[in-house]
Amino acid sequence: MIPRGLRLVMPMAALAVAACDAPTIPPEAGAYDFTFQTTPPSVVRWPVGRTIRVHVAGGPDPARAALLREAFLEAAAQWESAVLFDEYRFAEVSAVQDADVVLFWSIDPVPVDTAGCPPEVTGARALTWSCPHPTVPGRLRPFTVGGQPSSVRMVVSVQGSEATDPAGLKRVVLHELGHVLGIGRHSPNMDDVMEAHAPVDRLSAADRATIQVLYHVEPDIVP
Amino acid sequence: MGVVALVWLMAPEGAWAQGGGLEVEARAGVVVSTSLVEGAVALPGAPPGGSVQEFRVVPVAAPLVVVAGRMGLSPGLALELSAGWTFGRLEGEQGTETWRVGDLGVGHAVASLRRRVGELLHVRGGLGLIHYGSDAGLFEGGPGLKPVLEVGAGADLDLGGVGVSLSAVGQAHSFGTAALRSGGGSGIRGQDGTVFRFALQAGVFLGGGLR
Repeated sequence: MIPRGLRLVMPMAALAVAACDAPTIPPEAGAYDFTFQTTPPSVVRWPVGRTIRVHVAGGPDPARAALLREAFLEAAAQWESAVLFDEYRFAEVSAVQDADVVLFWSIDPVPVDTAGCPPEVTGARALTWSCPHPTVPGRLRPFTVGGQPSSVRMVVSVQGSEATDPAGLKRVVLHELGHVLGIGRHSPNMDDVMEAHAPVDRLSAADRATIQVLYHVEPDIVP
Repeated sequence: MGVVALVWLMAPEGAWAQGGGLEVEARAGVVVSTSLVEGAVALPGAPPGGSVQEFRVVPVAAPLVVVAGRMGLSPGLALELSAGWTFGRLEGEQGTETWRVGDLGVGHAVASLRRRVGELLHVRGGLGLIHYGSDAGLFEGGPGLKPVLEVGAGADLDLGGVGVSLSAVGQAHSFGTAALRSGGGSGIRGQDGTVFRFALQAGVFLGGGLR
């Protein structure tokens, strides 16, 4: 026969297992404003679950190319670790035409055709730019490459002088990948990677909270 | 309901005579599950009560295999030890979007009491351990082993000399991971909760003496 103690323990254990609600993530806390400063403000992000293909155009100098690639890989890994449910991934691709995003040194030729969507000249250490699709609302304009269609929707340029400071380069690329993911503004907090000039090389709790919220908000524009 | 079933399974019954015999059973089936995580977000700075989007991460319906061994305790009552594995994947759902979160393997081992009801039917209930494994970020730090409650009911048939079983099984267990509790370092603290799994299984068994 079943021992008396076991008769008592098993129903109690059953109650303990079955007494709670579903596992939950509570409403967000600590996220900063990530909307693009359009009128009205818009949410721009990739479809959830998307693998964002990045072509790293490192240029003719192998050492400089390696620096940019290493900065990209480390930044991509940090941003991928910031979400719990694989809302996005980065993948490096070798052909420009197959990329969603192109990353290059500003001292090298732009790998895509920028006619109709030129970069804003800001003098910034790095710049991420894209343009609205001229005919399809809610989408970004694809760039052409050598006059041929491509899937490139965003371009990231990094000042060539950043090559002299690998640690600074990694910070810059980490920041720009935040824009690539859809963070459309700068954080007001110097502890955050997405603050405009923060000397931060690791994502803060607020950076992580912001990207987690962004990928669970309905987008207005999908690249 | 599961508790009631367990109590009934364990109730003493003087009419039960001495048991004996061994059976080995292989089962396969399909398992569905409630969400592993549920959440909701709104735009930062949005007014309270503004637009909120809910999301959830749920294992998709997946194949399950189970191996079980039974030892008779008395006529009509057997102790069953079973172990199973689910070959699944996790999917996220929010609004009109769905996405693949990652592969998911779920292993479980349960000790249960199985009681015959009439000539064909049986009911079963027990406790064990369950483990989730996945490459998804949610599982960073590992969920560890969790206690699981299992209840089931089914029928045993003799088809041309081959023992065949059909059964429905329910499991309940708590769920939480280190990454969920820390919000992936975001300060958004996830909370553990309960997950329910339901399976339909068909099996064949060898041995005898338990009927």
